[in-house]
Amino acid sequence: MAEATNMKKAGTGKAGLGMVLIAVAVIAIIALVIWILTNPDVLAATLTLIVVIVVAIVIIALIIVGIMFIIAIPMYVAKGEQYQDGVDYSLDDVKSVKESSSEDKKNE
Amino acid sequence: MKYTITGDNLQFVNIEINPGEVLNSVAGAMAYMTGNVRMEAVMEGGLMSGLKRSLSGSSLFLVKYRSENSTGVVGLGGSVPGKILDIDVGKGNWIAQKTAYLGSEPTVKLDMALQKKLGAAFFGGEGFILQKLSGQGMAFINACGDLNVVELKAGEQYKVSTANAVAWEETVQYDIAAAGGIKTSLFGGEGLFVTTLTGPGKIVIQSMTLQDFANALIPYLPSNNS
Repeated sequence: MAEATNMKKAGTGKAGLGMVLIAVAVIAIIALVIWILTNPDVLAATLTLIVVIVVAIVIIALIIVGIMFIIAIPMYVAKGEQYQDGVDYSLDDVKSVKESSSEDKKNE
Repeated sequence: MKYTITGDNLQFVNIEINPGEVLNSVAGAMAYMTGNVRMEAVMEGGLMSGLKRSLSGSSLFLVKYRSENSTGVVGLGGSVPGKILDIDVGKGNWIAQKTAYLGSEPTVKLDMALQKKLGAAFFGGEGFILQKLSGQGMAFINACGDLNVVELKAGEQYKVSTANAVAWEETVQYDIAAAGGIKTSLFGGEGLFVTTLTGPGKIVIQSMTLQDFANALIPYLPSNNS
């Protein structure tokens, strides 16, 4: 069985320890969620906070949509349909992206 | 830096890395690398730069590739079916749509750019936040669909369907205009506005946006009921 040549190995012990810490943190978060779910007072306060945040996000989104709706028609009127008159364009100016290389770029 | 862009509609950019050279890429772009290449995720520029990168559709961490005392090859692939384009940032700064950045030489600076015109930000199809590529060296961007590159002379203008502008040189003026009269606006399929790109400078236009692609697939997605 052929093996890769000139192999070296870089240690991943610290990275592994970090992954263990992340796993512990995830377990701690899950435990926190379970504690919140089993504690009615904390659950009520958390749900209230979530509802406030969601409502705030929805209100902000509605405000943005409202602003867009309000400014769309004035913007449409102000911008107008713009077009150039008496200017020639050529199909030769439109280049499709295909396979290329650094050598092609040097030759440009 | 030597590279080739290969493939048709799901392209690779294959980059040769010599000893001492570094390649940056967005997280998750690596498709393959040779055995002598090592990758390291780095929050380039610190937390604020990382957050700005995240907001601009790139990743919090960039991945750096180095070869170990020999020449190696890294292959990057895009995250959408489309094309990869090489741009020489040393010839001028570029503005690109969110998620366009794929990779670059480390001398290329990837930053967040804000759309300055309110109308263009709301109705131009690219949103408020864009990506800005500045500095020196080659950068690789990717986008859905096929790509056309047009070099506009001063005063030349292309009207582009909203969201179909992939990237443009900073010298290009990005704005919106009305698509047409009331019949065109309501029944023309483009909505009220089209994007206008006015030269001088290069522009890159895509044949299909990722949203168009997703919308085209929706009727054919399997459901549990069928």
